[in-house]
Formats: sequence, C-alpha cells, structure tokens
Amino acid sequence: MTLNPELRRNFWLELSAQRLIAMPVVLGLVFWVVALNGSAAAVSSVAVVAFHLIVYFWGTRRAASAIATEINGGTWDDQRMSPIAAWPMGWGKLLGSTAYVWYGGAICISVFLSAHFFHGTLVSSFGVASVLSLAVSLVLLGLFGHGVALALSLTLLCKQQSKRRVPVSLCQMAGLAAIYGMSSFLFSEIFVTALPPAAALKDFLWFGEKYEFWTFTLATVIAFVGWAFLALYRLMQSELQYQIRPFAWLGFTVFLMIYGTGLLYERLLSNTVGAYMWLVLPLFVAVFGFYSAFFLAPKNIVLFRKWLAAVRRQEWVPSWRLTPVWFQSFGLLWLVGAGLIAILFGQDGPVTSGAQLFGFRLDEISAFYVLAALLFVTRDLIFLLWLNLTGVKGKPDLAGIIYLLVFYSVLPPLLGFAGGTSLLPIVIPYPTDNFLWAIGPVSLQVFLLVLLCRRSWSERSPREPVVMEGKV
Amino acid sequence: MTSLVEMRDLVYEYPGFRALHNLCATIQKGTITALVGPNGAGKTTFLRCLAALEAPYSGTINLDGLNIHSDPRLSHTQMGYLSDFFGLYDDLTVEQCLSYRAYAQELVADQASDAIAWAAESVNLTDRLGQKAGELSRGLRQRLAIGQAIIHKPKLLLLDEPASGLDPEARDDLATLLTQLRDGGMTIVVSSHILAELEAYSSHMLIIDKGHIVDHTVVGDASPVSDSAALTVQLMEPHAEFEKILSNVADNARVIDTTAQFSLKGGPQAQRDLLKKLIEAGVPVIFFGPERVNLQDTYIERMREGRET
Repeated sequence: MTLNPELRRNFWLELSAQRLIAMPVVLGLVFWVVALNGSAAAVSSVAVVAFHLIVYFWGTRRAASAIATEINGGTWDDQRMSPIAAWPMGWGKLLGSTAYVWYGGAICISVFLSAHFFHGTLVSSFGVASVLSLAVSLVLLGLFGHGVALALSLTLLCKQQSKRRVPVSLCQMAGLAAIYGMSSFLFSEIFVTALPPAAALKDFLWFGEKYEFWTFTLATVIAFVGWAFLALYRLMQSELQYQIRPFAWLGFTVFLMIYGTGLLYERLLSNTVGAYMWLVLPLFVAVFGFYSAFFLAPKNIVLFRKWLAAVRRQEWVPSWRLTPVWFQSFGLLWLVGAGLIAILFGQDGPVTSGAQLFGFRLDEISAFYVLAALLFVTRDLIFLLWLNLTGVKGKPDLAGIIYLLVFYSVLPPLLGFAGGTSLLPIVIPYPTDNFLWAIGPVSLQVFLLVLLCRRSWSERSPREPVVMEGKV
Repeated sequence: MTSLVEMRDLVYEYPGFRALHNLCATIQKGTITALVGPNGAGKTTFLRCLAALEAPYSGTINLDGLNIHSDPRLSHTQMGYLSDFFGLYDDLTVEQCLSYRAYAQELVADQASDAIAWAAESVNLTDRLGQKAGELSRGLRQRLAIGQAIIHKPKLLLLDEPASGLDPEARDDLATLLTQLRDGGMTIVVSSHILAELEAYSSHMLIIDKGHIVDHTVVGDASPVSDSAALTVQLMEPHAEFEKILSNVADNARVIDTTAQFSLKGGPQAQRDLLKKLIEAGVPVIFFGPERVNLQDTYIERMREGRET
C-alpha cells in the first residue's frame, strides 16, 4: 500500500530529525520541573494544558494555514492539477499539516494517562473509564477544531474567483470557537472543576432516552467530527473541480434540528407548551443555516447566470448541481416556517406559554409574526444579493453584516425611543394583530429591492458575444 | 496530422466582465503553439481553462476526446501545467519534489523511480537530486518546475510565461528542452511576451486580444510529424509558368512578383519533384526552402488587421 502522497510530503516537511528531538526535550523539561515541585495530579493538569496549547491553539493555526501556505507559495495549482482525489487530499492535509502538533499532543496525552495510571489514587477517584474517555474526547475535539479550521479556509477560498487569499487567523479562531464552544456545551463541569468523580457527571436525556455522560458526549463529538470531515471532503471536491450535488449543508441543518429537538424533547412533550413549539427550534436552526450558508457561499453573478441558464434549458442535473447552497437553505427555512404558520393558524389567537427561546418571547408568536419574520429574511436575502451584484467595493458580505446589525439593533431602539413602537413593523418582525401592518411594509421593501436587483443584474450581465473562430 | 485539443465556443467570465469570447481552436498533436497577445488579453485565463483549473461559463474543451471539464481529474493525468507564478517546496530536495509529484500522479514505486530519473535527466538536474529546491538558481528552479510538470509524461504541456526572469543561457536551455519534449511526442502550448524566443521552437502561433482569437497560424516547419511543409520560393525574375506549376501541386500558393509562399504535402520527395519541375521549365529559382515566418512581424500584422476589422 502506498502512503498518501500529501501526507508523505507533509511528513518530510514537518517531521525533521531536529524537530522530532526538540519536542520531547522541551515537554520533558516542563513536566520534570512540575513533577519536582508538585503532585501527579499537577503533572496531569499541566499535560492537559500543554495539550490545549499545542493541539488546539497551535494545531488550529497549522490546519488553517494548510491551504494558505500552498497559495502563498504558488503550489496550490500544482496540487489541483494532480489526480489526488478529494478525500486523500483532505485528510492528507488535515493530518499532515498538524503532524508535528499531534506528535506533541501524543506526548502530552501519554503523560496525562501515565500520571493517572501510575498513581492509583487518581484512577480510583475518577474511574478508568472517565480518564480514558476524557483522553479520547481531547483528541476528538482537536480533530474537530482542525477540521473546522481547514474546512473554513477552503470555504473562504471557494468564495473567491480571483485574488485568492485565506484569512488564517479567522479560520483559526473558528476552529478554536468550535473546540471551546463544544467543550462548554458538553464538558463544562470537567473543564471548570477538572475531572470530577464519575458519579457527579450528569446523564443526558435525548428523545426521552437516558444516556450516560460519556456515551452521549463522545457520540456527539464523533458526530460533529464526522460533519467536519464531510465538509472538508465536499469542499475539497469543489475546489478540485469535481461536479458535486449540494446536499451536505442541508443535511447538517436537518441534523442540528433533530439533535436540538432531542435535547428539548421532554419539555416539548409537557402540556405547558403548544404543538407549535416543535417547530420553533427547527425554525431558528433554519435561520442560522440560511444566513451561515449565504455569507459563506460564493455569490458572483457568473455562477447565478450559469445556474439560471441550466434551469431555462431544463437541464435538471446541472441545475441541481449549480443551485446555491443558501437557496436550498432558504427553501428549507420557508418550509419550516410554513409548517409553523399552519399550526399557528389552527389555534385560537396567540399562544400564551410565557416561555422564552434565545431571548424571544414565545407567547407573542402568531402566524402573522412568523410570516413577517420570513419576509424580513427574504428582504435580507435580496438586499444582500443586491450588495453582491453591485460589487460594493471590497467586501459586500461584511458590508451586509454591518447593515443588518444597524437594521436590527440600532433602528428599532431609535424608533422605540422616539415613541414610535407602532412603526416597528417597518424594521423588525413585530407582534401585531393588524395583518396588513405586520407584513405590508416589509413586502414593499421586498418589492423595491427586487426592482433594484433586476437593474443591477442587467447592468452586470455582459452582452452576447461575437463569435470568433481560430483556425490553423 | 491529428488534433489533440478541440476547443468549442469557450466563454469565460469574471463578474461583470467577459474574459474569453466564444473561442474555437484546434491544437494538433506534436506541435508547439505560441500563445501571444498583449497584457490582459486573456492568455492566462485561456491556459487555466485549458488546464481545467477554471470552469468556463460555457463551451467545451476536449483533450484527445475527453471533455476536460466533465472529468478534470482524469484529464489532469494527461496534462502538465506550469503557472507564471509557480512555486516549489523550498525545504524539500529536488528528488523529494519530483518524488512527491510522481506519487501524486499515482505512479507506483518502480514507475515513480523511473519517472524521477527520466524527469531529472530531461531537465538536466540529475546531479542536483540531493540539493534543496530553495537553494537552486532561478533557471534551475524553472527546470525543476518543468520536471515536476512532465514527470507523468503528459500529452499536453501548458507553460505560462516560462521564460520570464531567465538569463539568455537559461532561455536557450529552455528552448532546447521544449524542442526535445516536442520531439518526444508532447504537445506544448507556451504563453510568452518574448516573441524572439518563441520563434526558436514554435510551430504555431495563437494570437489573443481582448478575449478573442485574432489568428491561429502556422509559423514554422518545426513539426517532425508534419506531412505538410510551408515553403518559400524566390525567383531571379518573374516567369510565366511559375504560378501555373505551383497551383498544380501546392495549397494556398501566394505569389507576389518573384516570391511565392505555399504549403506542400508529400514530404521531401514532393519538394524534390517540384524543384526539378521548376528547373526543367526554365524557372529562374534562386531560393527554395522552408518558409521562415518572422513571429514579431506576423504578430504585429495580425494584431493590426484584427483591430481594423
């Protein structure tokens, strides 16, 4: 069997004899100094901290730089010209660029495990399963963070048709956010108090079933690592010019809906909430899925024209292949929203649960309110498309985010301060019994923005070309 | 001669700007095509589309019958590409650089060793296999980059400005190398601004301006596999029988006063027969030989014609 050439190349670059000697020497000195002045528990803690620094902080940097290094070095086109398939290229880069980091991480994990297993009191306090599970979790979280950093760097690369650059620090931060976001959600007790006794770890309830702490957390991390790897694979396919059908992001969004609903299952079954609550979380996830997909996707007019041309020619497979991911997310959003509206219409008046979700008062939810919210998302979509079509100097998406922040967080308080709460439906989805006032202003905004978009579209579309034949 | 590349109605767009306009071209096997044009004409975009690195807005490119944009990965096994801003892994040795590319091209151990030896020999780097790429001079780096691009013996080699930054000796080496590769059966497309250098080895010239093909013409008789030769005959004084004899055997004969330019099929034997016929008819031939088209003059002339039309 031949070693993955991308991994082999990275090994040549990363694992020189000098570096292989330096890492254990430096780490050995650190652990030795701690062991001289502290207990086995202290060595174990320092090993975990060192693992965080090396694998998480340094590793996400290395993963985020994997593509940027190729682009800056002028070697990325050569790699794209090779017939290495997307998956070997993806995992070769993921593990290859972080090979040295994992070398250090392996030493830290070994020290962590040794400190526990060679010091009986530690194992008897925490339990062998907990110690091993934590070690596996640490490694999986590292893979997850590296995968996110590399996948985001590919995403941002795919966004640009020319002047291709990868913002390495942004990708590294995303990788760190993924690691520590996941940690704070699943392992908050562990990271705050170090390893607590096994009995202190709470079980998880998911769709009414009770799962042991480590079973559920490890399964969750493995699932998210799987999604990160799938993202990496699909993005690499896209970058390597494979003709792929976009379904992964939609799949991930649905996964998040199901996963989240599973955690809220017990509350959803209780009598204090209405049936509509089953779709509130999926709606929020769909909104997140749509905006994320939109801001991360390439949005140049050439891709749109190719897509629409394929649709016009009724070439359904190419049409599906060229369909923007955000468009599918937008469709899913409206589908979930329509379901929610249908449930709400079947009820008498607004629901009065008194509950809140993400700061929203759920007792104010009505069919009009949801419809208005969907129209505001539609307005945002068309507005953001218009910004992209007009080619706002520099970064239209960044400009769009700033505009949206102003629309949603600056204008409403200003109107409220001026005593004009009745005017709020103009700028945000606002609960009101007046159907026309709830959706009229936003519908007008949608209409005007469509006109603007159409004009920009015409201006940016080249006229039909003159055919010139080159002949020998 | 059979065609290797068939390009049909190729359109490439950047947002709000069409870079290539419905280009159609055929590139014959065993030729070296000089891709020329002013800055911003679309040469690099053309090459990147041809290398299946960019997906066009519309149109098709077939490489030996394979639609390269339907299956870019497979087409990459049959082509090599050297970007104008190529890079090397400076911390790897020449051997490691070549080895990586050989394995990336899915060559197995023995094949890879042979390919590394062949590529190193082709680019004259056999004695530097242990040297790090970062320690090589500009000319040697260029050679290594070409060695990497040809390690899998591609049918089509695409080079974007390969001579930029090279000293005269290195350019001469490059010309020799490209001619050798062409003689070995490779088809080559070279983009460059240095027309005098292209003249040394190009058999065809493809001129692009503002995303249009202005001309695609034979510029020399550099092709060893060609059955057809571009010839020039010059007379001491005009002769009545001259044009008549030529029109019987040659294609596209252009006769102006005492000079004729034409294509003649049939190889050396046909050339010998024609010369014999002219002498026997009493035509006062003072020159009979391959047509040497001056690339610079042709380029300027075609560009002017293109812009006027």
